[in-house]
Amino acid sequence: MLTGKKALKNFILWVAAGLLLVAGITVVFDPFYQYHGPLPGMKDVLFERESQVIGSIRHFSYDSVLLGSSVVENCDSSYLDNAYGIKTLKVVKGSGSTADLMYYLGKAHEKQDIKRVFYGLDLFALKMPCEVTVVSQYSPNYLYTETILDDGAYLFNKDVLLKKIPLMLAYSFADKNTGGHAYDWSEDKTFGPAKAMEAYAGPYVQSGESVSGEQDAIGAKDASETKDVAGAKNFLPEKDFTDDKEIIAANIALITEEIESHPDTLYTVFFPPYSLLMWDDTCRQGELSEYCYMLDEALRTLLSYDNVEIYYFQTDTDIVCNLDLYMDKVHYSPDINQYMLTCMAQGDESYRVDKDNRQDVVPSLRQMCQYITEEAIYNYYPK
Amino acid sequence: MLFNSTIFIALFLPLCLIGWYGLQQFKNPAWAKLFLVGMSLWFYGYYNPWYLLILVGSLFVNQGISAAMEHGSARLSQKGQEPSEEAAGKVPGSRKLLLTLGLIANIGLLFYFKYFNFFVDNCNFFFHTDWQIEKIALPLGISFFTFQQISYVVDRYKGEAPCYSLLDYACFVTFFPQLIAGPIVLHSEFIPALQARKNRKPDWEMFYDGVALFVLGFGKKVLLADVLALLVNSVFDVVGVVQYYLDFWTGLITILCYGFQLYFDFSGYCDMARSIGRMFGFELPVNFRSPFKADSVRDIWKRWHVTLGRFLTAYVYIPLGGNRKGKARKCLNLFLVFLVSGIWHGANWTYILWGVMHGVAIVWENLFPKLRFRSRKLNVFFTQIFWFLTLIMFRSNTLSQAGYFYRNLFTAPKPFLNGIGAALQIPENFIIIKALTLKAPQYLPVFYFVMIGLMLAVSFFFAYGKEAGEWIKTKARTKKGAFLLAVVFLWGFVSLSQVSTFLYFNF
Repeated sequence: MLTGKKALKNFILWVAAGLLLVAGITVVFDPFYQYHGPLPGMKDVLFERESQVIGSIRHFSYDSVLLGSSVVENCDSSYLDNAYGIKTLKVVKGSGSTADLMYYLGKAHEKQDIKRVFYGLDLFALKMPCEVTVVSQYSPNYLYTETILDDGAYLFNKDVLLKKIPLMLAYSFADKNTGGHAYDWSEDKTFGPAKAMEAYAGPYVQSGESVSGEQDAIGAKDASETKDVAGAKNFLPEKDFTDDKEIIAANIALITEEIESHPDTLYTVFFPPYSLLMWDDTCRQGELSEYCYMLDEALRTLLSYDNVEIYYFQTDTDIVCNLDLYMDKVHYSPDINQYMLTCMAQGDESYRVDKDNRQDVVPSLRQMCQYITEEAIYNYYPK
Repeated sequence: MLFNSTIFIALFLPLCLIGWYGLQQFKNPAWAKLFLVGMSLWFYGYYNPWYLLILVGSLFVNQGISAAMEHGSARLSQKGQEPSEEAAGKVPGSRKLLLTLGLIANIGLLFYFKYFNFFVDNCNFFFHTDWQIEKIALPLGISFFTFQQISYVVDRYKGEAPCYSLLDYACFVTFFPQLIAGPIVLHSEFIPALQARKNRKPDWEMFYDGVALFVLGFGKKVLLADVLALLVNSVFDVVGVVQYYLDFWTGLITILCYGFQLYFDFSGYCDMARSIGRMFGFELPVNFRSPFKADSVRDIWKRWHVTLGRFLTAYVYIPLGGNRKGKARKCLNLFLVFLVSGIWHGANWTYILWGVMHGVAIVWENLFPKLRFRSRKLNVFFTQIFWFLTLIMFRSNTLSQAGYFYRNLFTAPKPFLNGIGAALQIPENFIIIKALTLKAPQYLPVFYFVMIGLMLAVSFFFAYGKEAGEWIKTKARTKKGAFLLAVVFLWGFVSLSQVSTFLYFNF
């Protein structure tokens, strides 16, 4: 039997050795890329954007960025690499606000000399708050500091040891979520009308029903609004978005600040095609004018820069009105991601927006929305 | 702050120990005591600094009453009388008034923060009133430090406790290991040790025993209780709430898991509390003595939450007359004690009914003491059935949920326990689950079934096996023991990435 002191020393030594071992394993494999890029012989696995984006920005080798929200994640960025002779890093955030995406882009500019940025611009992001949230509100925020002193939650973490590291090894071995397929989530997903329509009750309201602000079907914004129309289409009055103009301008300013700071970087901004479900809902919520305003402001402002080119896919009815390509209101199949990249790489003029045809974009969007709400939506929902 | 948190283990506790023993180098022990009080207040205020007002206020009120009683005692002495004589009603005195004030203040504090919302809700329900009040937040550990101070005030009145200095009293009340979830420490168990000179230097034997006990308690909480909680919560979150088919096996497994979860959680916490006390040189009372080996309901309460039972016996049962006023009165007193225990556990009819169930059982055992099996094992078995069945009431969020659980407990079994095993998704089994999901999903239910079995087997082993203290005495002071403790500690430490709170926190 040991004395209390000796037993304590034994215990402390074993604990210290164990902590070093655990920390060492995490530092060596580093699934969140906090300390280094992929190990030699291992692939660049990216499967969890919340934990890995910032680390990949810091430690991967790249000269271009594919930036956007979840609708961009299924893009095969290696296609861009081959098409342009670049090395692209996918930088994404689910429902990413403009502020958060520009924060990431700013970090990328700090670390690398960025030649090209491919930016999937979601219009809804232009009315989100302008504060960066990834650092202060996201947990764990040790990811966003560059000191090891607060990395205890990463270095001594059972989830990291028993889930993330094995997953990273398995994905590397199976070549899953590597290279151009970083963060690709489409594998287990079902695309098609049945799945997509689960996300949208349709262009209806029940007779005599008072519609609350939470109801999705008709999108009543004001709880006091009563929709008492039997089985008919219904539209809320167009929303007064005067109060939102300031924040829209501020968000656009975040983008232009980024562009102006890096005049040698070529920005390819593209507007992803949301489904007719989303546009039908937007129209009935009375938000179409606001979307048109955001679109017009974004196009007008961005086109004033020589290092910006814009592609607009939102009015391609062959895509938008075909629910075989969607799994909900906004998320489309990887085929569409690829289609957009191909069009952009080939410089497809039918989607290109420039100063000459900018003024046609909003009217074409309105026209498409009219077609959707009066006709196309009823290909899926009974009249 | 939680014991099972990185900040506590890596920063607070080492800092506290270094400061405590470091400041003991000064001749005046007041520095070390002040430091301890300060650290304890930091520990308590970590969650919500406003709670400190309640704790400190309560401390000052009770100490004030104690000081006023001292003044009253001095006056009795002048008359050649003893405080115990006043307590026995033999002589008049002002101390009774002070005791009354003290009890009102303490119970009033508890009533306001813990029971007022419940009181208002029930008035509205039963008397159709429409009182609307803001929800009052429950300060952590209020039941514990209030009961602790009630015991002191009563003992002061009876002349069984000296008037301690404010600093010593503050150390006693605020001592962080027992502040939030017990054990309910008596002043006589703490303050003499605080004042003893020999405790100013670390006793390495006691210190290591404390470390060993801490690791075992930590392991119970993080590696057992928190895992069992996944399954238990997944069932109780839906039973009686949404449409959910509760069959016999699901109900049985759930309640077994809950019984073990509660035990590992609470006893784990108490082990950690006692262990930290030992590191500081204090021997805090044991709160659990192998409760799953109890052979009667009476025996359960000698083994489960021992300090609560002790408090209720000394400060409720005996003042009510105990067993000195005939059998009928004894049974009534016992019933009332368990009713109080139920109420103490929480402001919910489920706790009250749970207390009533135990009260009825205790009365039954008193009325029919010979109505038992000759075999101790059978008595243990049926006592455990009773214990686990009453835990359904204890765990349920509402009476209707409890009713639903009891009603459905004996319905037809469903294969593979209605999928509850799927709740046991922990990092330890992640790779297996992932592999099975990809390659052989048809075997997932079997795997979950095995997981449940494994968790229950481990739980039985630790719940019915050696007590922690026993293991520490025989095994901890060996190289192998130290290594095993290090493994448990490390495994628990890396599990802290997801932090859970103790079940008895909100009592």
